[in-house]
Amino acid sequence: MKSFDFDFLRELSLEFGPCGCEKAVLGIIKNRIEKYCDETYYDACGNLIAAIKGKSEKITAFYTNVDEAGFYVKAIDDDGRARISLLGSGATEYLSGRRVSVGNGVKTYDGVVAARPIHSLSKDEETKPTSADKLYIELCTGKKEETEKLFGVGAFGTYKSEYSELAGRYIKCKALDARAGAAVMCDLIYGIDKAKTENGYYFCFTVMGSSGIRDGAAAAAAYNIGKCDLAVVLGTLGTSDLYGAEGRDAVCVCGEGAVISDSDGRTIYSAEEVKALKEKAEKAKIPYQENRACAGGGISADIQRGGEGVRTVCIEIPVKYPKTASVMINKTDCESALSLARLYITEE
Amino acid sequence: MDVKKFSVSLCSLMSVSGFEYTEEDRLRELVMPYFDETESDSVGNHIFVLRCGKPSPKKLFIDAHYDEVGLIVKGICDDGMLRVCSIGGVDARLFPAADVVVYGKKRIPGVIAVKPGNLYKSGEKGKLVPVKELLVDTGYTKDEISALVGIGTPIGYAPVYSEMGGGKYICGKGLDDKICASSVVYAVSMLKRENLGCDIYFSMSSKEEVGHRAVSSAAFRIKPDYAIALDVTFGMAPGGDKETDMEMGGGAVITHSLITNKEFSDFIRSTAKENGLPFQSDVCPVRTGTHADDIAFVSGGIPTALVSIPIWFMHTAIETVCTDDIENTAKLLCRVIETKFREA
Repeated sequence: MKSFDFDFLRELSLEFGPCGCEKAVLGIIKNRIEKYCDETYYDACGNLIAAIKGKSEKITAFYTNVDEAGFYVKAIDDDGRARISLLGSGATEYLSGRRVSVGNGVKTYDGVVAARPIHSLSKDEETKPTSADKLYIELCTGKKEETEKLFGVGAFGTYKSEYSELAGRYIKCKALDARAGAAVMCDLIYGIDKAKTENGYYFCFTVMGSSGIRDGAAAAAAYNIGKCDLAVVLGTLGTSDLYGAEGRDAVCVCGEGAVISDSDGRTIYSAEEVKALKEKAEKAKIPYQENRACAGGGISADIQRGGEGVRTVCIEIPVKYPKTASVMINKTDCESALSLARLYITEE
Repeated sequence: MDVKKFSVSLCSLMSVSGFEYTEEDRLRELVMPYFDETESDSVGNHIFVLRCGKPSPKKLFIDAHYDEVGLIVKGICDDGMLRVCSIGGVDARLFPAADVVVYGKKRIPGVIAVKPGNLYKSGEKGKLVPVKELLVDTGYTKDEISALVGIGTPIGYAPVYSEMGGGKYICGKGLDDKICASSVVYAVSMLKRENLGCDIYFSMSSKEEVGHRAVSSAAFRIKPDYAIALDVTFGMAPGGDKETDMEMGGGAVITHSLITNKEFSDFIRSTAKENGLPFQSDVCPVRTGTHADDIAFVSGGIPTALVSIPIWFMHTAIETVCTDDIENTAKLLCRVIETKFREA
């Protein structure tokens, strides 16, 4: 079996794909997986759905959402600066002083999130994040008309950052939290011989997962593919294993394997499927860990309860600093997630 | 000389205050092609000298501080995280998840840890983690990082540069004040030797960001006849002071102050006018907050002018400068040097 493809995760993470503007990212994925699947298409919500048909009626559906933290351009000032609204659950305190890309996904432009010099801040301002209404993107165009030649109100934006390795152990980039699951899923698709497989598989790369919209695009994808025997959600879970946090406070620990949650903030997973997965993981000696705080809660709930409902499990890669320009992932956790996911394509 | 390329090479050097020696070989490699001699003094200033070759020439001292703000390791946690404190005025608002480089036994990339929301104690919500509580994450364990990094190891912003406004603006760390140094080197590269009537002592001075600790020693030792201090100044931006902030792309800023020499400053202004070079003026009544303050009264007094380049987002990793200002400031300096000392 091929090991996890970090080069592909790098390509995916560097691509522009804020919540609501995922086309470029999905395009890369579609190119990559098309030849290994019987069918790939975009549904009405923009989700990318791929299918490998089986001979039996047993169908397993895999899900991952691909959108990263981002923002909308809500206005352009007379001096050409862009004012922004955050999309979904991003946080303003991670934006100040960051490089960003702004555009429509086909063409993007470099800017920076402005930060007033520390010399002119009051004592109070020094201790608080810049409020969203004061944030703006400097593009150095000088004039509203010049910025409008690049993009208009409604353009999307997200971080621009570099991919690098830390300590030979971690990878660091923007959007790793949004794309690690997709990289696992693409690697998974390689492992299936579509001519020989008995079972059928769906692979749903969903959009707008970080928007906070409940029963949104992921639920639509679940409806669109129809009845399945099992849904396996691949994603990431933010660790709090920092500042000396222990036990429950730490949520999960980077480097100790992918997380198999019994439950999270929005979902109680299928107990028998969770038990079965853990037993298989132990038998195959694949490291995994528990979600100690029932934290997180991504698209699983939408899928589990979408349509007539489906038994759902979730495999998540622990991440440090999610939703920032420098998300960190321990490489061994990617391998663990891929090995766990492969348990579902190993036909006995 | 490709001034943009040169600026990026110069600004990307590690020069956190007090650690200006870290890449001095590379600094000399960059700057020496334009000068005759170089020396490092006992307080860490890097001085480059250009001789006019004339008997008993006047001495012109040009200063642009070489140091930049940063962090320093004050401890290593059990989980390998580095505890830090600041060197110079750094901004806690910009630190969550910022990319940094730890200059230990090798260059180690790191990320400033973000404190997860569930670990905030009551009263901390909505507030920034103060710099003294920040942690730097290198991904190493305590044992691994302890072999590479000790207490007192400096940390700087990651040197990443980009262009904006169709290449008219450059953006990255360390532009304060190495962008001014870059402008000086560009000016010197344009000087015609036959027009040079003075010896130039160009001091890329140390330790400005931590209280102007070093430049006066260089000025004292060299005892120049004139001095020009160059630094960055606030560019006009939302939330700034419309009366005192300067226009980006509006040319060099020549300061009126009790500190600066009126005659020399006026000479620079009239040189700009005569040569059709844009310039701006500002007023800093009794203190300029720059090295001009530290040079003007040294060694019996040195007629000093202050020339500044407007900058956005000072002391961040996205400091931004208009390349027109770098070039026009260089042209102005070149003309000032050639005309001021020719008849002398």
